[in-house]
Amino acid sequence: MDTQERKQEPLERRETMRVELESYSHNEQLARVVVAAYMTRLNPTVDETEDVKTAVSEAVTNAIIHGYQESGETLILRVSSVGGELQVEVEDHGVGIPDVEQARQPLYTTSTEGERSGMGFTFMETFMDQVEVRSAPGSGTLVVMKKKIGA
Amino acid sequence: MTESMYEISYEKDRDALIVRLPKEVDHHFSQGLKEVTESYAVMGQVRCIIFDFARTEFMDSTGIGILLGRYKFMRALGGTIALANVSGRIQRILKIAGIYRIIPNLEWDMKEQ
Repeated sequence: MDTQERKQEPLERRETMRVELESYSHNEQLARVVVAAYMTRLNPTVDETEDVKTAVSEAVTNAIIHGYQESGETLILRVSSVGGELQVEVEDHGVGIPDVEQARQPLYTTSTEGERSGMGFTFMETFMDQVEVRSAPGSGTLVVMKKKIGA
Repeated sequence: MTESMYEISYEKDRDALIVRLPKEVDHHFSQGLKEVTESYAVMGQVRCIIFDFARTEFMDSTGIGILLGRYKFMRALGGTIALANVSGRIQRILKIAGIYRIIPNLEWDMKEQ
């Protein structure tokens, strides 16, 4: 590492938690609770905690029901923070999304039974400051969400 | 905290079906709701499904899908849906999703009935 790079290192260390969850629907709640527990060190407001829990629920539900079709395969939840900014990553190695832009449109859903709202990505975008989606058919999906806590 | 808080319960009152939603309305805790409400509506001649949010502290977009799905289903049968005991957080979720614009006269005051 040269001197130039060293200067750009953040002063506060990034604290990272990595949790593996089996893709069963009962783990949606566990994912929310785990992220909420991590967040307590950032002294969030009740609204901030609820916002993040909702966004996490959307991303994890997508991974479980779309990515893995509830097969029980492992999804990865990474939570980190630096300088009061929370970052949550939800990663699956499932079917992937053919057209990410289309999937992010409000009300877009692949569900044919009419019981899914298609609001998942809209909720993630509403409740977090930044949402990035990387996906490729056959290799999986990574959702990276950021939110400044106590802003 | 009892396990029943996570379960949905159903109660028929005249031509209404009251669905007491669980503490957390997500994909997991809402499974079975579609089938149960359909059998009540068809077999029990239900005209209105009232969703009671009194116990509910958390809801994600799954809840929106349920309400829209049940509204479409009941409209097709000439009925409707209504919501009761909606708290601040749940109301915020409903507003963001634009539910109040899609479904008219949604709020139901259980005390007046």
